[in-house]
Amino acid sequence: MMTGPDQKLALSIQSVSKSFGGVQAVRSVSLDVPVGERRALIGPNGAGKTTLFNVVTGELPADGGRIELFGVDITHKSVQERAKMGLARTYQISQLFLHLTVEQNLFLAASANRNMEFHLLRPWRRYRAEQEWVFQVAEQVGLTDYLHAVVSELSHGLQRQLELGMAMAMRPRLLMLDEPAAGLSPTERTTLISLIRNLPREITLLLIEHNMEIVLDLADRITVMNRGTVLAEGTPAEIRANEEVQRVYLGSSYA
Amino acid sequence: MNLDKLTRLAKPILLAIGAILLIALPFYGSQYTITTFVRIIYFGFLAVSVGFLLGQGGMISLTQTAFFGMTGYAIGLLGYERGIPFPWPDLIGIGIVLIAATLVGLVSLRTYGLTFLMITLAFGQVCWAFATQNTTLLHGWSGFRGIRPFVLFGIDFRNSANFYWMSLVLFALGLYILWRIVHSPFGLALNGIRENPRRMRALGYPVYWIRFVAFLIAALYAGIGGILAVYYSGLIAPPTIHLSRAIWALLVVILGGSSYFWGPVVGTFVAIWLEVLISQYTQRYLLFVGLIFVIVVLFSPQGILGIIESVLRKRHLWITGWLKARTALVASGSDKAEERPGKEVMKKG
Repeated sequence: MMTGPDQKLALSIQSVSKSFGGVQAVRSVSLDVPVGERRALIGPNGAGKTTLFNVVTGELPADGGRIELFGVDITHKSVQERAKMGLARTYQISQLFLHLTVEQNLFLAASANRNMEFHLLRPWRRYRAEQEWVFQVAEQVGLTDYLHAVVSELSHGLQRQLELGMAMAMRPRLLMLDEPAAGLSPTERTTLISLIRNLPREITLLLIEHNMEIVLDLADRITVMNRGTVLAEGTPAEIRANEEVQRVYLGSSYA
Repeated sequence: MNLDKLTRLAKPILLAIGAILLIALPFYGSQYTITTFVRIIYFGFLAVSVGFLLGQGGMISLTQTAFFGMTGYAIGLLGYERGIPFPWPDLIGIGIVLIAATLVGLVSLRTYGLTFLMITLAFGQVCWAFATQNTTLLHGWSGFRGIRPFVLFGIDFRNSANFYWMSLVLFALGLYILWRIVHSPFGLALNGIRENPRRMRALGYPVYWIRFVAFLIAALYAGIGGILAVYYSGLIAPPTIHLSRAIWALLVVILGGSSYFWGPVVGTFVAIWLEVLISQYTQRYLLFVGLIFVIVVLFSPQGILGIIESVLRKRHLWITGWLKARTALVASGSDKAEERPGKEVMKKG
């Protein structure tokens, strides 16, 4: 199970497919992401990026193929088991607990999979280790000043920062970000990009993003998807030079 | 600074005064007042049961009155009629409640929102229909009457003051335990499920079982309320578990403020006293209680506690604003600090 070379891969996707009825959203996609790499996944709308995300996290079952997380076959493991192995994700549309505080949101993420949910009588604030971790994550995502704010009263930008914090609070080894900057103003976007850039380097990053500035700024390598298949893969410079990619996706301004 | 100190001191002082007034009630209150307070406590248990599910877990249940009635029927059938001594009928009653809650919970907790409400409604109605139609065991419409409380450790709970004190202790203990539960990681997880069950599942929480445990806890509280009710009123019959009582409990929770821990308690207190006071003047008191409910909810969806909180917050802002204005004036050397401090500052600003 744990073979030598595979342990250097955070994620290995081997000919994975996924269809919805007659529509093949993902067709035999293969993708390897080494530990510590920051990989961007780009492609036009409907290319199958988010579907691939959902298959990797286990929210959708794969129709075929094999997925390995840090050298372990996870193809048939549940969402929870994958989360326990160090896989965390953010959502394109924030999935937050709107009427709870930032602190409570982060605590729920930090205490997930720690067998604490049936502790009935001890106040959650007395769990020092989790509490410390919540403060640390809040600092990483720039929310220290908002710990006691109710999430529904935060700006969209701060909510996106919390969405990132929720994933970070799960102590991920592989972090998957689905359009982290969706709908942000230019200032908010700058803040979020620098937060992502300053995340610990040992966390492997897989990132879906439409904004090329962000992709070129953050990614070590880029995988381009189109119509459910991988079109190209390479360094930002290689992808920029690739004519086919330019044709389907980038447009002439990045040539 | 002084204000903060004052508000910090005010809370424990008010609580202590309230506690003393409650404990000393039998020494200054009439028999009728004691009875009203015992009713507030046993219906309070029912409201707390409904309020815990609604406020903490986002589950609207119409089946809590069935659990409320089950312990009563167990005591009527086993204790009153068969002469089985205390506490066995009571414990068997609690056991029946937990088994019934397990069965209803396993089925209904797969669903959310309106579907959950309909399944709990159905179960409540089945219990009610069974109680009305079963004449051999449960005596149909007439039920059991004349049930008397027990004597324990030489204390006669047929004395209403003694019964009141026991109920008060049980209620305080029950609320303290529930307070701990609400503020535990379990309580927080339940809040997370109320807000976003899908995300909780993605985080790896056993959403179904957390809701299940919450449902059992709520059923237990309703069952305990039912024990107190049957002993004090001496009566258990189908009207106790009628749908109208289930809806009453829900309205009371909303009246008090469903998102507040104390909402169900405040709601029960206000609703029962309103009934008592208005029924002295008119037979149609329910009409007026209903009107008051509509008015409160119209102006404050967060109920009575929502109104109190917003008033306190505004007052607080007003007082701190005034203090700040005063200090600013004193600092700027004006000696008109006593007169219209707010306007002076505005002119200068």
